[in-house]
Amino acid sequence: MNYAFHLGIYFAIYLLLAGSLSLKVGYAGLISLAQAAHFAVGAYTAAILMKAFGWSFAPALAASILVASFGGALLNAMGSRTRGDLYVLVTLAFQALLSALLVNWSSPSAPLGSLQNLTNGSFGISNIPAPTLGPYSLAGAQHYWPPALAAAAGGVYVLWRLDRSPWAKSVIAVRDDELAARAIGKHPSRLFAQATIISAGLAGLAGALYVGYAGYLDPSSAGLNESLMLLSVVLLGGTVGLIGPAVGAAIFVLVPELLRAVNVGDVGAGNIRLAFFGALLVALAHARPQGIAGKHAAL
Amino acid sequence: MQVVVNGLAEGIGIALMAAAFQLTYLPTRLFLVSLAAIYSVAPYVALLAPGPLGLMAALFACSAISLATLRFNHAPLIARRATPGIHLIASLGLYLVVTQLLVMAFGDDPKVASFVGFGTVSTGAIALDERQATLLTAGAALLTAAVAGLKFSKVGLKLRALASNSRLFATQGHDLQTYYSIAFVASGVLCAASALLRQNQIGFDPYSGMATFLTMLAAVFIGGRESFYAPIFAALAIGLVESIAAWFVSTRWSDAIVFAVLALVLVVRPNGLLSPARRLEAAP
Repeated sequence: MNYAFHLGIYFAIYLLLAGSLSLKVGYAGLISLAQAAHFAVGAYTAAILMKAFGWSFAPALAASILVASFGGALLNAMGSRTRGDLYVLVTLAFQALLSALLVNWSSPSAPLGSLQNLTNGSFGISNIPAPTLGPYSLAGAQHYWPPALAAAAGGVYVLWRLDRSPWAKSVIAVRDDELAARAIGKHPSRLFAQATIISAGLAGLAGALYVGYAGYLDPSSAGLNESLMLLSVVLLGGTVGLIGPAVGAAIFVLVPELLRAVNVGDVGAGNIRLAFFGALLVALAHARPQGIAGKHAAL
Repeated sequence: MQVVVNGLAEGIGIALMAAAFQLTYLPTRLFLVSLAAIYSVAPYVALLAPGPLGLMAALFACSAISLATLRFNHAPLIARRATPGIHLIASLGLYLVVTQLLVMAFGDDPKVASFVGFGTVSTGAIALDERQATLLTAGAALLTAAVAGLKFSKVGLKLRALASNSRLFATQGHDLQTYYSIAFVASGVLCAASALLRQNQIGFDPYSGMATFLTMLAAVFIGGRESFYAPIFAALAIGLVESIAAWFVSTRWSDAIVFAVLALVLVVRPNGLLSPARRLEAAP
């Protein structure tokens, strides 16, 4: 049962991540390879605030969303004058820049969270205090899954409201024909900025949830491979609507379990999983760009 | 002076990769991230045979892989009029598959090998190790040959015409697939050369291709992606920036400084420093 809670928590985290990416890819048509970077920004914010500054979980979570959203604003500033595959490469560069910062912003002699040692570099941040809710500890899967699911539900509610709002229709209109949308008074740059910032904030929330459960973090969480895997499951599951991200998150959680079921060791499983998602991307590109459960061909 | 020479040596390696990228991008308008995978493959193939045989095998293998990506991955998508985003996704997927196959076959721990060497150089002011000397000689020669080929040969002229206007080029009776194939083969060769020269004697792993690809990407953005030559100059400049950063700041911050410069260029002049400014809506 504990393992089921464990899978449920990761499903909640990846649901948030997949949903945040689908907001950019499906609605705004902005393929992004920086979602893992936003996830890492949120995760590192929560980790540093909880471990170095003694913040409790809820304020750290809120701060993660804000800081990740700010990161989204920075990415938007870099990429606002680019479109299409050029924008993808901008997100790739942003991801690389952030990875370089996370790996290198460290100093062995300085305390974690200081200006000389913000991230602790390749060593990562360990022994992050378990979150609490008032007098109750949320350590362990059996205690952490209700708040994780609640946070994911909150994120899904935000996505659901956005999906039904005039804002989503405006973003889709701009995605489909930017010039025509501009001619009727829409502001493409503003709409894309909003999509990017909201997407980054949700990814940051997922990062904070991850840190609260895992208790450890290192720069590999901001890796390109993670962004590519996420992109593949979002494209597979579908880029518009809520069912698509849920399908994608389920695939993301279940593939390692399937590999374990056929006795593939943990070391090889990671590589096979990555190769599988890579092959999935190629197959999707050739066969079905709108994904299994998607409503629109966003690409 | 040492800093400048160090920077030029590194810049030449990046410039070869930039030339490889532009050879595929400009004719086809496709961003091929799979070039990073081809870069990673080269040293592993070179390890399979000793000396010059290994080098030839690596050059052949990389050009064959590059051609195969065109024929089996991108040509079907071109025929179906897929958007550039689809091509990019297919290319990303291919990158993942190839690198993971490399990891499963060879492991992800760094390996060190000497692929080619022309000896060290030491004068009063400058000292070059064998790797740098090889980059500055063989790398510069290869880069010069590539640029001269593009500028002065008939095939180079046709590739530049194709890059300028592919529809007009096709209406003149030229077979696009033939010239795409030539571009991809040449790109594979330059990419392999960059990989073997840059990773000569300092180590390589299956993920080193993406690190070089990203630095090359910075050169393409900073120089301007609408030109064959601008990214080459930008790559040389990036080599200098990295060398200066390593000398005066720290080697571990050199990558971050390059990307920070890239971020600034993207905000201020997204079409590149050496390319003319263009409206966002203007087609490439």
